[in-house]
Amino acid sequence: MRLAELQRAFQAHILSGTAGIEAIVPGSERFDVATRLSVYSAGYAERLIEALAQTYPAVKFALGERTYARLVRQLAQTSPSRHYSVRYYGAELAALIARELAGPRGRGGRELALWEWDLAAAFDAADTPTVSAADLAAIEPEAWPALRFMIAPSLHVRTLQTNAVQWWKAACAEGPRPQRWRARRPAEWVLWRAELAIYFRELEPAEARALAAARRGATFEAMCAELEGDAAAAARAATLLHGWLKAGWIVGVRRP
Amino acid sequence: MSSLGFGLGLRTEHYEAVLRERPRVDWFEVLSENYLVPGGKPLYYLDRIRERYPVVMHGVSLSIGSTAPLDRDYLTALKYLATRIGPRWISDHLCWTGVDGVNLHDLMPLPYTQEALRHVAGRIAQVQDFLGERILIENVSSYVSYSSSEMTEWEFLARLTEEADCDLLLDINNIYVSSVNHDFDPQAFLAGVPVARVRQFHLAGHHDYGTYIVDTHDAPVAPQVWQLYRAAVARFPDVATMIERDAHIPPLAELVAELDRARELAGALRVEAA
Repeated sequence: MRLAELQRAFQAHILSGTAGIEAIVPGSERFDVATRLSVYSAGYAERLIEALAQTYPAVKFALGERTYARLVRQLAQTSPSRHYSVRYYGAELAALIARELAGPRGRGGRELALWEWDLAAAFDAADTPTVSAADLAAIEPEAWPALRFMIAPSLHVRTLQTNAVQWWKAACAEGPRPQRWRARRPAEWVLWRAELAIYFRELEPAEARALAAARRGATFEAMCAELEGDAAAAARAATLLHGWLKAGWIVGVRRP
Repeated sequence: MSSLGFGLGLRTEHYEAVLRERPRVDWFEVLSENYLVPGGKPLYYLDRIRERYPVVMHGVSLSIGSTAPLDRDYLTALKYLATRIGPRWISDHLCWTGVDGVNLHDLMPLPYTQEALRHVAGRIAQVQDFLGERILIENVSSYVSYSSSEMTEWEFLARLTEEADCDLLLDINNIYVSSVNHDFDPQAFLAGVPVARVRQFHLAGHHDYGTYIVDTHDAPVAPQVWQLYRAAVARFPDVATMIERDAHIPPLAELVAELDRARELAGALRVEAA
């Protein structure tokens, strides 16, 4: 058997138990072929169950170890890793949870997985120097309407319609489990990293619209337009910007 | 001694302790993939620890034995990291991790054939050209062998070092684990490896299932592995040694104490030899 053929047969065995590789793997009475191969085939899923527990500790906590392990086993078979680092494996877990688990648990579990995926991305997002209030103050007033703000790469916004964050907090505290998964009114949540710490909070609708505009690369003028209905949109936008600067969300300003 | 001395695998659990306690460790081995990220905590700590200790980079994703094309993105990221931290060397395993775009995140053994030898030697040469330096290749623990093999693992490694002009990282625990699983003499393995090519040893723990052994890196180094390490130090007297622990990570002081045992053992052998 040529090398390429051997590797395809071995991989097929690990992923789906396909026969073929046994013919060229010698065994012994002490350590038979099936046991030899099982070290690789069983180890494959176990390794991913362990690795994804680093990314999804709260999903594991909330769904329970058995359900979590069953889902990752299924993921390992249907969507094997295609990245050189296991750190980037598991993005599809949220969709799998939504497909496999019924009702509020499926909807909440999906949101919790998305939340933890965003946390992982924020954790090792690029380090970028932030813009200071003094930097902005130095910009002449007439340039402001056309300014565009670059937002920190660690910042993620997620719309949540369940109490996923409550489950996540319970997992972090290893505290009592919430009584149940609950639906709640849709809300935008922002999470980001400043220095080495992760922060998050719920966004007010107007701030969420302004932030979405800024992330799209809209001008300050367009951001203000998102605040229409607010009596003093420009002043409100300036207040928001001040908060964003303090939080380290703004990492660059582009002039026209 | 002219080698790097005695090192530990750097683990996230020990970042703060390493910076705070400045442990008696000569160098750290970092898992390359953990630092192939844009930023954040891993790189923050690596930069600071690098200021205080020499480091070497150890990877698990090169898949040097795969028949799939080399992953250029991976190599580019690896080179970028090497430029950032200036490791003393870069190592990875004699194995394959997947084909057809899949990464099984495991270190699968190769058949020891002429075909595999040519294939791997050619790929190591490509990697070394790309990185601009000689790399170290590590023997893996294995649980299967192939009826198509035409030579022993150590013959394969010895020939590989010549054909690819690469160096070796000998994992003493892996030699022991494979010797039990495949019923060969671990001393023959050591005797078959060219002295001049070995630059680093790994020591680690394993789990003995009675009829076979699995390389788990979750326990202290086993007595049989210490015994084999003595033989390795006797044959390869000036090689950097490090202890790998990847699960059930104990406090740093416990690993430093285990490393001291390696230091004392190697020191005693040098005294005996003198």
